[in-house]
Amino acid sequence: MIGFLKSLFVKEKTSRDIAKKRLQLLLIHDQVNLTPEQMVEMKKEIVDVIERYLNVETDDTYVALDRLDNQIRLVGSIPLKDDKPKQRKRQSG
Amino acid sequence: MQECIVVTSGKGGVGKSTISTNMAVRLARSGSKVALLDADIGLRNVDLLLGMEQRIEWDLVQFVQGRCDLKDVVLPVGCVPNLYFVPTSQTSNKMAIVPDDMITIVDDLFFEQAFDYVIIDSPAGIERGFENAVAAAHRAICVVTPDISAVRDADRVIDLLQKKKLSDIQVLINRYQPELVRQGHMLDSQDIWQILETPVLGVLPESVDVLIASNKGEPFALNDESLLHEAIFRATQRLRGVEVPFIDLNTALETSVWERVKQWAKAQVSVS
Repeated sequence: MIGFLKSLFVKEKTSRDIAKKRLQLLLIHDQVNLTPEQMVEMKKEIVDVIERYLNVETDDTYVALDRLDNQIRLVGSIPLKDDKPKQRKRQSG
Repeated sequence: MQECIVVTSGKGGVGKSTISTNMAVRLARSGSKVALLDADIGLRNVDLLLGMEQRIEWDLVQFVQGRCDLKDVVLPVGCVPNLYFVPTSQTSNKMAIVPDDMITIVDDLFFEQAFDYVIIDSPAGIERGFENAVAAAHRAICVVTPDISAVRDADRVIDLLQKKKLSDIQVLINRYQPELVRQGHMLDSQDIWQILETPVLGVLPESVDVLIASNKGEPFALNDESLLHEAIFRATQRLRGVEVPFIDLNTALETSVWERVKQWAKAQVSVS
């Protein structure tokens, strides 16, 4: 029943939507002309720089090219280790 | 005005030869003097689409090698006044011609033989054959089918054309199936325009008429009744700078489905 209702209100991604998204990402990569190795290297360097200032959860970082609002962007998500709040808890407890 | 237009795509099998042939037919039928030049050395096909495979005596490679005059290679197409076919060699390889040869050939067609349009059917790929085909072009039509590999290759070709300072580029979408677009299984012309960021010259529906026309060696642009003819007609009008609306392929094909039902019903009656 929920599945049926969902199908009424949530528009499922068609293969056309998927093709369009894939193509747009692909062409961004073709355009910026960075090799996959260079991408990996850049990501590593970015994370390295941020690590100098913050406590980064290095296993879970995400840096990629994307297209938003008609512009190619480098989009990233770099989570921080949450060890500080835990320390505070211990102190108060 | 004289213009050399290259029909290209990157990916093979998307309909370059069909489109260049039928555009040339349509332009000639509208009164322009048109040369249709097959640049696919070793894999020529335009002769078959025109039904002229038995009439070729000389080809472009022989001209470049100095074995004949260019006039010997330029053949009038019997069924279309004002249309001339310039065949290439079926046996040589792509290295037999260099880009400068192409410029010499096209200059001769314009200045010695007073052609209005030279339409060049480019081979697939982005190697020497492509370099030859685009060398003399003033503008380019990039043929694309609504699938991801064709669109990706088109993007690459458009990029290469722009690097050659060929800025007048338009996309022609071929083998379009409105029913699949409606079901969400095919990119539509808007999607392709957004992805390639290149103006769309026209949209040609998928049609069995293409196969039938090539079987017979009679270009479909000779038959005014077909939807394909209407689509190519409008594309060539736009090419000449005339503003015409796009066909609503959804409704146009609905009628043809209805026609098919009628034909099927007729067939049933005649069987029983």
